Amino acid sequence: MNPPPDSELIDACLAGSVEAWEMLVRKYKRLVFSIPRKWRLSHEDAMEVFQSVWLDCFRELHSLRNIDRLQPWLIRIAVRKSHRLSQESRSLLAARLGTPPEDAVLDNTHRELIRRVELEQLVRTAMSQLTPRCQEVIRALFFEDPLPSYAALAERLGLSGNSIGFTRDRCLERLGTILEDLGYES
Amino acid sequence: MMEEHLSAAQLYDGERNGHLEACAECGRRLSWIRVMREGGSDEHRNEPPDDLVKQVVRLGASKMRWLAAKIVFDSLAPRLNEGVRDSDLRARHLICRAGTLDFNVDLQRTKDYRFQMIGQVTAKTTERVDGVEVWVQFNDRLRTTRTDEFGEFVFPRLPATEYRITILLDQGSVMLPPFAMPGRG
Ligand SMILES: [Zn+2]
Repeated sequence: MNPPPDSELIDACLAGSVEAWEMLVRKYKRLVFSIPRKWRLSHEDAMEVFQSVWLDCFRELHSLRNIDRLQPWLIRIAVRKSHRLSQESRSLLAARLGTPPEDAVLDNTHRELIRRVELEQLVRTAMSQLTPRCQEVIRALFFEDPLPSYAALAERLGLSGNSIGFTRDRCLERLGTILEDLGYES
Repeated sequence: MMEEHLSAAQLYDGERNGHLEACAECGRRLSWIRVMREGGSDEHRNEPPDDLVKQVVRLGASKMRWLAAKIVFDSLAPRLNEGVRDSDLRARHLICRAGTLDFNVDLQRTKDYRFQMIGQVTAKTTERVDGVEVWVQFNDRLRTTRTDEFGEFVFPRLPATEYRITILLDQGSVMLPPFAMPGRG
């Protein structure tokens, strides 16, 4: 059930696989888009950051082949671009447009945001390793607002009212175990 | 520790007891449940618009054939050799070529010390050059537009810096070599 590791996907991209590129984009699309959002950029600016990060990524693919380098790289580039945009819109100094990119000077608030981004991606990875049924249960428990009733959830999953409780417990335990295996730290 | 650990479901339901306060393992599990509770309902807003994702996926279209265009004409090439002062330059005209496609780019300095870029995509064959997505990246910014029915595109008010143009054609993405207006902005 585990998707191929990034290094394999990148190799496949470089060998000409469109599908591998699409898998990479889909794997990290929420991570990349969440960063300009956390920097409180407008929807339009968030879209710009998203496009620009993936364009850089596509261009730099060959240098990102090393295992485990892609995610931190995507975060770094998205943070840099988001930070710059948020400063530009704050200062309205158009002259800043003329200065070359440099890594953002981050304070503790920003570092906390980045930690959040990493945690959220860890959860996505863990989710992707659950069965489809468990994924649906977890999404309902955590992502839906308002929370569906257990009766409604049981009906959606085609379960009896009795077994939904059992399924829920099992899925929560499973998710916890996967998160621990992936190195979750509080 | 004598008591049993709390199950994830008990932690989710908010069960608390003396064991929880003393148990690091249960504490850790409670923390991921909290993190997910806080961030979870926000997750749908982290989802980029589907059109945007498709556009980015198209960067890798055409079996990842990233066509690198070459400069075949540059109006600055001879003049720079003659020692023209950089800051006097007001315009630059480039023609880049990739396969059967030509890319004309004209940079003109405007009154506000910025640059207007006018470009045109032309094809020697029947490839479609209208409605094509064009991206220009400079520093950490990106602007996008589409070609009109004549394959033309315009980017007004660009700063004086280095530009990277990417053209997302059906048959693949084309990247023009990076180029700049030399001199001050
Ligand atoms: Zn415990």
